[in-house]
Amino acid sequence: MTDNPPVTYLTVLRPGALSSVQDLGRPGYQRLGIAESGAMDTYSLVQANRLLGNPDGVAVLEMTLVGPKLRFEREGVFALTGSDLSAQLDDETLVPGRAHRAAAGQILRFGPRRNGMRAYLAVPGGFAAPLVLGSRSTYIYAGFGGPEGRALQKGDQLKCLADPACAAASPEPLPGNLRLPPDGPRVLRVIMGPHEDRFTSRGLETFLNSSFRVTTESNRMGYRLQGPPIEHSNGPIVVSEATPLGAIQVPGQGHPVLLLRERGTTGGYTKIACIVSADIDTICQVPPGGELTFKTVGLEQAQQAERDRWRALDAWRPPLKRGV
Amino acid sequence: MLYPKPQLKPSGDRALRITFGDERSLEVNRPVRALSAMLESQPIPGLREMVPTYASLTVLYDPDAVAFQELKSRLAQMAEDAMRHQDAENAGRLLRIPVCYQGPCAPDMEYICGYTGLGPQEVISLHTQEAYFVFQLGFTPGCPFIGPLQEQLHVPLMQSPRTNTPKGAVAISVGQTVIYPRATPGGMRIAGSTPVQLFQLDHSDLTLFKPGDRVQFAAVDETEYRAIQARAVNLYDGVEIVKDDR
Repeated sequence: MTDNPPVTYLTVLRPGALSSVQDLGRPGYQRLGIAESGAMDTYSLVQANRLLGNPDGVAVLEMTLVGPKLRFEREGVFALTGSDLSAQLDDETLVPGRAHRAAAGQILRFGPRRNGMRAYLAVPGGFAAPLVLGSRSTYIYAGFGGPEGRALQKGDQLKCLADPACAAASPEPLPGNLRLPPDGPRVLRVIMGPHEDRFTSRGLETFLNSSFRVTTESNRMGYRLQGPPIEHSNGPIVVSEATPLGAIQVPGQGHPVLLLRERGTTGGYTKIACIVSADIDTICQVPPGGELTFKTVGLEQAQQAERDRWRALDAWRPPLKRGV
Repeated sequence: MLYPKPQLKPSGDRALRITFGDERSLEVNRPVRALSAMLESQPIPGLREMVPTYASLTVLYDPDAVAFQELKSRLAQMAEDAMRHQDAENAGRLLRIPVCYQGPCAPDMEYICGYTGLGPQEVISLHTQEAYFVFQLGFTPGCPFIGPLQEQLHVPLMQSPRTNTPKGAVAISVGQTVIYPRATPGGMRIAGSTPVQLFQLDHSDLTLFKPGDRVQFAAVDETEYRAIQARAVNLYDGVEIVKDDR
């Protein structure tokens, strides 16, 4: 797929709030301080690719809250999944969860956010961008990956790695059970620890029995939450250690920070718990102001939830090929 | 303190943390390095990544390839072996890194002197007198956490961090020195600046430092700093590899 010469497909007329090229990220380098980056909502990324008959991990466009305005430079297909940001192809309203066809010169634009936080646009073969450490993902905080290591800018030309006109685009939409649910309070499953013993029993109770709101200080590195402060028993500082994806740090003022794809790979604040893998994509679709609660689960249960989620997707359409 | 036995605990559903103690010290870090080396030479199937840090090693694993309990019991055994491991403290690489501790390269020198009661020359000779360890990389790509820093140089973090700590800043705080590979926010006190590159995508090493390296800082004046800066376009330019017996 990467052997095809890239074809110019889209021109960026307006970049939106934060639109960037993302794939499944670059695992394997955390010991060097390099976060995996990648799409915040990998489930939506893979869905968009499967709607077009792409391999799961090819690069798509991740669009945040306020979508971009894009012009098709040639005829072809594309797919939209994830958040509903009121997509319109010229005058036609598009709902997420299906593949569409555009003619050369048509404009894809986005309007008010209807639900979720991040929408995904897939194109045949995936977007072209240099492979950096095995991934095309834009690592915004470090300034590499994607086109020139940054989010989209006005005037960028986006190329795709297959002929946009001849993909195996599915006429069938994504089934309802796989789609992003409407906005509403979310229950995030967590594995407690590793520093749960650094909190008072009241602190643990606050964490598990309160609802928290996502603040506007939330980005691809992490989410800051607002809620009743969580009480430490012996201060918030630990000897700096690894911060896995989904780790929930509680700094001094007691407000949790959820660490996501572009987080620092190590950190010195207490981690009260870690969001289970199956719920990482869920939290990445909660917009600022969204409400969350936490619920503990066992390790086996968490790992099974992740298997079940991908099995449900495979039951609709199995993967063409894993990886980039 | 080094724990009598390593502690193994999940950190989420795909990571397992092995902790050897609760401080930044060579004694506690020694088994981290030993276990890291053991896992590199005899990999465990399903183990995807390891992140060695000051007092713990976190391994990221694929639960479809290895069950937590199996991984835990294998790692527990290896971790206990690692605690018995005696390595030669000066094995590995020793890198000499030029640092300018003057003028605009050292915006917090006055604060550091005020807080510690030392003169600038004393700060410089303390910071350059012994080889430190690279305990871990983290925060941003290639950013080393170096120490342990002599107690006379322990200064607190800034109340409100700088929004932009310049690239190459050699910053100190309680117990450690960090070098910023690129301009990022940061709350540590800037004692000097290095002209060398810490991260290069198209170099096979990617990062100048690896966990377990030793670092000797060497003072250079502003003229020399600028001269090295002008030619330091790649990883290792301006860096002297004093020893490499890995």
